Amino acid sequence: MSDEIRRQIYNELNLRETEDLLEIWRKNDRKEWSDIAFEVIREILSKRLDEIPPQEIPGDDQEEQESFEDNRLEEWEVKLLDDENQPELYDTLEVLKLRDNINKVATGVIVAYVLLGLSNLQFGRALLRGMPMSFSETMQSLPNEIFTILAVGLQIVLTYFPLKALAQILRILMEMEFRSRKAS
Amino acid sequence: MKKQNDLFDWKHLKLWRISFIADFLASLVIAAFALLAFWEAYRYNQIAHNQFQTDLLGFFSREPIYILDMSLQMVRVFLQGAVYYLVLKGVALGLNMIVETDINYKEKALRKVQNERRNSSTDL
Repeated sequence: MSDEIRRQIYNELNLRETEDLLEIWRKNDRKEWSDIAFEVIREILSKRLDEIPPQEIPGDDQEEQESFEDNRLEEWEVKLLDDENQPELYDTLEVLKLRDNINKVATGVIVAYVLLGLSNLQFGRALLRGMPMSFSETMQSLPNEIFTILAVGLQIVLTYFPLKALAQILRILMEMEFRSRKAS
Repeated sequence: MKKQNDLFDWKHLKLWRISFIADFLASLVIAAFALLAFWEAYRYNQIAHNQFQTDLLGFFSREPIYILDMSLQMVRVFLQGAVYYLVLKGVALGLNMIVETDINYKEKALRKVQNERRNSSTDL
């Protein structure tokens, strides 16, 4: 069945001009054209031309790469992603994604803990219930409130900074690995 | 690849195993904490049932502030899981990078020795 489809695609594409095929090949639009179509185009072009030109990065991959580039990728990181000689024990893209996620979670932790802290404050709870505390009640609960704020602050510090440190460690390790590969 | 396999010694294997375990644990941890986040909802349901003899929706309609409470607790537990997950994933990837770096340097050293031998043999 797939051979039949392939043959049909081949017959259809083979009728097209080389320039047309080259344009489809270069654009590499995987949403518009199937993988089989690209295989067939490669086959036809290899018969018609001495050398097949390189393709552009497919749409999804390009978006993914651009989203990383937007995220202030350094020059060596772009080189690392484009490098043909990729490491065997880990995936560079996975490390960059993880680093990105670590930074997002670190920010999320601050927001979540601040909201948790506010909901735990007696003053905050009274406000949410629509029954603000009087001055004397506020003064009475002040030691508890200060303790809650300090506890939340400590929780944020103990989570945020180790996460940020981990992101930096991963960055440095990846750079070291990349340089060692280039040196060898 | 064969050369890389030769350079992969027991120290690398040890690190690689720890990395594998950390990677495996990361998936377990995130799944467990996702369940624990839902457990928080169940806990609030129990409170509603035991203390107010009602279900969760009845409890929330009576005490709307607990909607925020429960949501924040669920987010807190899930975030905790996410932090553990990221740390374990980071450890796994970090160890793999260390192993890869060491192998690269070993490969470089080996190549240097081979080149020196080749040069000395051509000098003779």
